[in-house]
Amino acid sequence: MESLNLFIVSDSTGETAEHMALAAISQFDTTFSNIYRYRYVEGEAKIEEILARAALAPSMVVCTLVDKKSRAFLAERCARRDIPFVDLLGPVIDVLEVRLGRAPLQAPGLLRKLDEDYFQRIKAVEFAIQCDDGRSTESLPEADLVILGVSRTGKTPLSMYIANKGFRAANIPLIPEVDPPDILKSIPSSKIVGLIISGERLSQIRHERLRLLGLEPKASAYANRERIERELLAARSYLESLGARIYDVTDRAVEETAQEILDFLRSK
Amino acid sequence: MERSAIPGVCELFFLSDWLGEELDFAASWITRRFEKIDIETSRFGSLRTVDAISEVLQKAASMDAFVLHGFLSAELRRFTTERCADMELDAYDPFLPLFSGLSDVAGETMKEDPGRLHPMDNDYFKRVKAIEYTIAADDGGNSSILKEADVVIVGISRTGKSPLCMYLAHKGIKAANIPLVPEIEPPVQLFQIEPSRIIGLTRSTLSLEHIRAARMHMMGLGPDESKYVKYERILREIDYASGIMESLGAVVFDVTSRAIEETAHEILKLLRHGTQ
Repeated sequence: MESLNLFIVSDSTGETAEHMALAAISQFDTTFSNIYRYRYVEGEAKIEEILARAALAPSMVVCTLVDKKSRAFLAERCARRDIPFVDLLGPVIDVLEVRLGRAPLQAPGLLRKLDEDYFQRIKAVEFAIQCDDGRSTESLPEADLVILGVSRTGKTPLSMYIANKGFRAANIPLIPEVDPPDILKSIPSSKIVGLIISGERLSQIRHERLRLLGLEPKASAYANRERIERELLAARSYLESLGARIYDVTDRAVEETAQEILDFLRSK
Repeated sequence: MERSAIPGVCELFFLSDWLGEELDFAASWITRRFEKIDIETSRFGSLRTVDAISEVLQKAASMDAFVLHGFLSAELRRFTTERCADMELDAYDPFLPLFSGLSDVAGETMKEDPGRLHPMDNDYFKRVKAIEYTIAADDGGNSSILKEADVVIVGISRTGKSPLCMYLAHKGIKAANIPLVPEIEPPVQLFQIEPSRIIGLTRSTLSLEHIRAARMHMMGLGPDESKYVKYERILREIDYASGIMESLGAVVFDVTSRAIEETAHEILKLLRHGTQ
């Protein structure tokens, strides 16, 4: 059979509708040749324009619109043109409006921003997981931020926290015996931050870690002060060679470092 | 623990025979449109038997919930639809018009196969779900989904609750966090959580003083200008938080000389023991 088009009509980003439609489509063998997502749709003229396009080839229209009049208009026009139409969540809005006794928010402004933020954060967090602890370095060019640091400087929590704010953060450990990936040299230095900590504090943290693991701290090079100082020195000179911005995380909550980094990212 | 309906609050139940983020997206879309106020959402995924569905619907009836469902199995969908009608529950299946519309347009019957939904492994999926939850719970309008948390972290400001939650989520744990501030009552829902799922964070007054003074400095304020850093104030906050943690029966961790990863591992251990 000929290919199908899916038209998503939303007063906001339309991402929820797209995800739901794709899940439904996965249950069929038919492939949809095109998925058109119309965001921020307002007014009957715009709806007419979309439907004129949908009518050109076999299509299906799915909407997430809050406004009841727009929904009714879209339904009526689709029926008139004989285009299959799905009002995905409209019926839920209608029930809740009655139950709660108040009208829903309409999409312009604040709500759009909430919708955008929601998916941006989800994508950023998925990215941060994918690029945690030196994994998926091939994706580094897509990162908003690359965090480097020796073991136990809090790279992962920092990445997750920053991702939670909608920025794609990757983190890579600096390990004395291992060369950092070459791809780092091609990342703009403004996107690279390095975490540094005092040797004393790092030694404390690592001691505690070894103790929790049931190991004898004194027996391990990991918590050895001299070795730590060497590690930190090497890390610092490497970070400087990259032109990374360096943050000292000694005596600082992750939120603090994160806030400074976020301020910087937002000012760009 | 059985949770009872909260007066004036609309309960939304989401039922499905698969574990998809799509229902979460839908739930979130809906609650955003009503400003996340007076709506409680509960999600029941992987319901594969009529008995399991019946049980959830019974609960829905007792709370006068609005039931949203999206089953891939035609049999379970029919059962749920009929059962809701028999029980006179408000119910809606947002996927039904999609499925039937696609069936018509594509000229084929649907596959009813959850395996086609997400070509990714379970661990990854669990992690993404946990992180999505943790983001939602960190979002301010967090108290309504508190009951879904695997763990709830409470503590005063600057004990690292948020990063800890994100780290736990990264390990597949749904973590929510509630700040304890003397001026703000913790949400009622917090007191409905089992004590074994509540973790309190505390930190030495000295280290809090350091951290907060550094923060003030960063914000261009002198340390003396804010009661935020004052020693007595910090003491009062710690006292207040300790009182709440005790009344909750929370396990308390001192995070003074600990990396977040350490505390997280202790919590993971605790949670694993709890489920044995």
